[in-house]
Amino acid sequence: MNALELKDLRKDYRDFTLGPLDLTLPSGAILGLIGENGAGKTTTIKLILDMISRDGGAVRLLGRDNRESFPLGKEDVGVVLDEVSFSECLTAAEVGKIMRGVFRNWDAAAYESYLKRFALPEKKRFKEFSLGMKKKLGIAVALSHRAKLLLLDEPTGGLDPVVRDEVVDLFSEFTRDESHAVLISSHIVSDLEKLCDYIAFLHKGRLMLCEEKDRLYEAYGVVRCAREDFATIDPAAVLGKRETPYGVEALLRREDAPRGMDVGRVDIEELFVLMAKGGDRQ
Amino acid sequence: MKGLLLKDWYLTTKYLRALILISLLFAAMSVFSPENGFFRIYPAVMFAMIPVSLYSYDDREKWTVYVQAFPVSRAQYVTEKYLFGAICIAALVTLLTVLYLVTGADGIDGAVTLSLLLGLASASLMLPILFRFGAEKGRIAYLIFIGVICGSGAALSFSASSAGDITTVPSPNLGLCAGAIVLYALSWRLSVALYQKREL
Repeated sequence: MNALELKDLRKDYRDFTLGPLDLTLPSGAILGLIGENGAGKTTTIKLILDMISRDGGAVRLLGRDNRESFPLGKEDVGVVLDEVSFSECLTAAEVGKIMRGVFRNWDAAAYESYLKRFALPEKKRFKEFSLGMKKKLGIAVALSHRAKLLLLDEPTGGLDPVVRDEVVDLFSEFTRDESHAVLISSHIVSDLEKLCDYIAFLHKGRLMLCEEKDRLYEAYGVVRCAREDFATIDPAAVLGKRETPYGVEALLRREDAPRGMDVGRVDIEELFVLMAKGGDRQ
Repeated sequence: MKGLLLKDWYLTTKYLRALILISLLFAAMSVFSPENGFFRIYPAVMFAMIPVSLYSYDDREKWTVYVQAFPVSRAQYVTEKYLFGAICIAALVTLLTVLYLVTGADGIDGAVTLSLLLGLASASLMLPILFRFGAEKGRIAYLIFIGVICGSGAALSFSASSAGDITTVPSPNLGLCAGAIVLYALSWRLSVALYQKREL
């Protein structure tokens, strides 16, 4: 079963249109949503959660239409939004008690163990938490009600590298159960590269690509060459390029590269940056 | 719903302690000086404003957005605020009843009716404005409303002729109480409809 399916999903604002988005996340997998600020990552997650109204298309979560299955369907979805917003006067212990009354499947023991694991004080007010502590509390809540799908909007932002690594491992652990899945958006592409099975690129509201990560490495490559050599490449084959003092770096589908030209491995960050530049040119 | 009620209980005890204590003091004073309209009006209006204040905190702290990540519909969110408001007004009315019974003061029926009427009517008027326009814009309406209510209460209490009206108005009037409850229910339905349409 697919954990998440977006079909022609669209949202229109006066000066920005998101979509139409078509995207599928199979159970047991992690999909990373990459995009620059304002690309529409948060809007996508809010549409999936029906926090904002869509202007077209459909969203299926764990096999059911999101509008039909909500709010009860949210029992199965763990969410970390870009801003974790509990009331400033509450402590982590109080948040736990509140959540016990919100989620039917609340697991108080799991919550307490996450608080310990993240070294979060139970009696300190949320107001006094650092940005990283707030994120960790959001993650602890998302992981403590036996969710099947995690929707994570910049969950590692504000965390130090050691904790980030631990959190990334936690998400990875989560999908060991084949009925679980994760959709994660982040600016920290290295985290996504480590974690994800699928990568989706969102650029100015358009989904430029959604592929298996390993398939991306196989299909795309970077050519680093002098300007004269670059001129011999069919412009239609160039998906994006960057000019440097030493020549040109161009993103190509490997199959479109001129015979004999050396095509290097592209990492996800480079792929995204070059593709976004290519998208801007079009 | 239980979780939301608990959250609002925590916020009330932490943020609104002073307001509640002052209101309770005025409520007690109204038993001993029933001619003072201000003491009779202020606690009811302030207790009615508890859900209004709680919504403002939710809005300021972005809980109104975050709560949508949980299995809580907008209708449930609004319903919880009305339920919490009704509990607050019921608590005030109960307290007044106990005070009147313990002290043996006259006018228990009028005091209870007035508190119920004012409390429910105030919340009924304010909450839909808040759910439609949000805390920031709703605050203006809130301040005007409080100003008018407190101003008229104070004016009436200093006016000998009017003071009589305040203490004698609504004697045990079941029709008025029922009307206030119906108004509160209608206001709840309106708030649910308005909040469901709002883009947060």
